[in-house]
Amino acid sequence: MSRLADREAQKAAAARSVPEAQTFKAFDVPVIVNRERCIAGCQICIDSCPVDCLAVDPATGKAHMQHDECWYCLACEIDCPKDAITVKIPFLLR
Amino acid sequence: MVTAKAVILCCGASGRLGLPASGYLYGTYENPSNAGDGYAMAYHAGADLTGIECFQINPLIKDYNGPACAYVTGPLGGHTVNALGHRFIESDYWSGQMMLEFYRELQSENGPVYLKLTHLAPETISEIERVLHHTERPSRGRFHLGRGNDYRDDLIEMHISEIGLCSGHSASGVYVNEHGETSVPGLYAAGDMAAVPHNYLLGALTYGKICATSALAFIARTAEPRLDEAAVALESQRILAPLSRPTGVPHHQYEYKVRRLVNDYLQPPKSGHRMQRGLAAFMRAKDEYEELGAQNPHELMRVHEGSFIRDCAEFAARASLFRTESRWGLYHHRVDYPELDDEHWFVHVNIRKAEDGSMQLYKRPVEPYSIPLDRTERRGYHALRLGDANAAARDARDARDARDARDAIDAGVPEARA
Repeated sequence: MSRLADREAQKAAAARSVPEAQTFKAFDVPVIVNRERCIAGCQICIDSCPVDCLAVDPATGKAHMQHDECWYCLACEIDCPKDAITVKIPFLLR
Repeated sequence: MVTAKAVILCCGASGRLGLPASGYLYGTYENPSNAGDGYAMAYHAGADLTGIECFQINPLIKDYNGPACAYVTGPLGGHTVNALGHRFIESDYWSGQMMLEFYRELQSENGPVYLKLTHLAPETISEIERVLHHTERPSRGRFHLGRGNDYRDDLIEMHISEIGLCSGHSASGVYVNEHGETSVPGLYAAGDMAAVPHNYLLGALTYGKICATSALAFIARTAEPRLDEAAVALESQRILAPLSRPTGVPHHQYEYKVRRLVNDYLQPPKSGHRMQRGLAAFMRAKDEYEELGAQNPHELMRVHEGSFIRDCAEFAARASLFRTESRWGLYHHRVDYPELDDEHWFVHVNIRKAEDGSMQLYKRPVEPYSIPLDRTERRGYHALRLGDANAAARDARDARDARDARDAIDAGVPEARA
């Protein structure tokens, strides 16, 4: 076996057993929370979201979209007592 | 862990099976919180599934998961047209045959297909918007505005939805009898995951009550269950395992891959060779599932949903391969078996988990019709396509429909009468 082919065989075997590594990308998210209006401790939007994509941001104590998993159903926007939420149609659909 | 004498599953459709054309994982027609959890749980508990090969496919707005005509715009005079502005189907109400005609038009030189409301009176359009944009899909108006489309002036481009499993829209679900009982004693199913075709919301509520009544009777005659501690420990281990792999493959990549393969291999028209390739891919995905990792409870939930989605993909492939004929229009349109074959296939197909853990498929006879159908009724779906010879009559009828719809609105809307 040539040296190059031998190296490829070794790397191909390694590619099947090497541990995973991860990277992180920013996403343009559809649910925008106005932090000034949002009430710390209020969980109404988090509870009304059918797909569990909102959460309290530990940094601010306010709600934010933690996962880009929106059904753009507007439940959070409609239920927010402070009118602090605006839902955009997700970028992939706009 | 919760022990229960009886369990009623009401987990909705398998809505995250196919991938929407937009590529957005959660842009599904069905509520994406329903990942086929009920189908997978019932199956693994030993319950029969049925009608899985009769997929759910909907005519939707292109890129947006809002429906088109069937039950809101149709009755008020809206309809589907091709790129020439001509109607091509007799009825816009959803059926597999309607979807097949829709698919053919979409693929033809006259595609794409549009929702047409431009011929309607302004107050009729306002009424349609009130229902579609406030009740049906509250963000739909926002979508149209973003694209610069207005029903008054524009035709709205339509497309075919991703596939799903849903008893309400097709017939795919957990097999239940008239008491809501699955084939496992003490296990009941209601709503879109229970095979009661055209159930919808009212059916879900009705069957929910039927299931509850049956379950209460079952509970009254059943002894307190004993918790099997060893089984609980094993199950906890299985459920929490992805948390021990925090840098494992993320759930969304796994889900994207499985659902992309569902589109590649299962989206009708179906073919045996293609679905065999799909089945092989879904079996590979069973091994790949062990590579998934989670860093928090939310991700753990999504990882498990990945297994439900994969299970449903396997059900869909196996049931579709089993039925070697075409039936229900596009829902089970096999190019390798294009004909309806009542002689061999006027039956239901059930799936169950065999003793050895393999997936078993078998034919279940159709119960006698409560109301006999005559021949013309049984062939009604095959007369859906409009021929050009009907163009003049169609145009006259469209004009009359529009007038009738306007009259109907006038009668119901005070400001229109004023």
